[in-house]
Amino acid sequence: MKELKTAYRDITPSRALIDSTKRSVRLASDAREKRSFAPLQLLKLAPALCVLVLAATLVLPRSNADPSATVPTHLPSLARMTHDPVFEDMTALSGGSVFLKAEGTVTEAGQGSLLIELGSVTDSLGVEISYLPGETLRITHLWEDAPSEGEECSFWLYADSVGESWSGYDFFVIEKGE
Amino acid sequence: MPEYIELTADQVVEKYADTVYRLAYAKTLSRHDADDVFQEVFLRYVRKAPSFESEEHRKAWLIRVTLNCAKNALTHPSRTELSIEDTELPTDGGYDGLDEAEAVRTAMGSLPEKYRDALYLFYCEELSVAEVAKALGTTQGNVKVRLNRGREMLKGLLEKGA
Repeated sequence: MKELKTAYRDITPSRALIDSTKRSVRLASDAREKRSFAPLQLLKLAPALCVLVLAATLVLPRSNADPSATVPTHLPSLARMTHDPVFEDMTALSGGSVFLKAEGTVTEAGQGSLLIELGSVTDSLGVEISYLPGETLRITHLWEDAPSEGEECSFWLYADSVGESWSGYDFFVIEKGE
Repeated sequence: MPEYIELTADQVVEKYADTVYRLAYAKTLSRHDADDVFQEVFLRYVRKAPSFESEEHRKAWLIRVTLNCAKNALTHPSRTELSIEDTELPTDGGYDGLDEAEAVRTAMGSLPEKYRDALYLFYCEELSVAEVAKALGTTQGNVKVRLNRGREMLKGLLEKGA
């Protein structure tokens, strides 16, 4: 196996690829920072917005006011879930799909999208979810590209907004349809 | 255990360039696909901005995402079939015309994916059995079995092709 240890040593990325990747990640990083600063920008505008709201309240006739309207009490923040979501069910369906459910308790308010990883394949749930503290978050997902029957898998959940992951239980795919 | 320090995205690209690229190449057997996977892995790193507990944790994350991206690249509908030149397959059925490293890479390329991945991560990336198990989403026992069978298959291929 000595030969195997050195067999890939000559396989290296070109300098052009490394430099081009660095440029791409810098652009992506800048875009991410701009997005994360957006709530801060809103906070900076908060005093001016308060004055506007107060002025509008005083000027507008009281009869136009909606009695059910409420002022938002918090701005979206980063989402956090318990590190031990419970995986309730893992049912193999026909057509090579796996249906699974996960449940966890939200510990901090926020919003983000979820990514699911099963075996060595990653799939996005493609849903934006808002979280509230104390809320139970339930996720159900139909996995269309299930691993082979009898294959042992692990399960991960990622919340994009915090980049955290929760490692799930190992499980076996009991049955795989045609 | 290497001390964990905060790195800029640029520094992460430099530090893990070879690791990510070689693994992508070992999985896809094509420099063209390895180039695409390489870029995708580091873009995901920046977009997701994962938090790590250690340098091993960061490396494990990059390895896992590289495996996922390479797998996606292999199954992508737009991917064209590899040419003989791309895969470095011997045209005469043996490895006589190849140097030692090429012969090993070619033999590795013809192994089933699960054995190739385990062998590559254990021998070329020098991960422990536990780390390989985590990266491949399987048990340590399973990794040991894959390493044993993979070694036998690789040995057989190299002896047959020599």
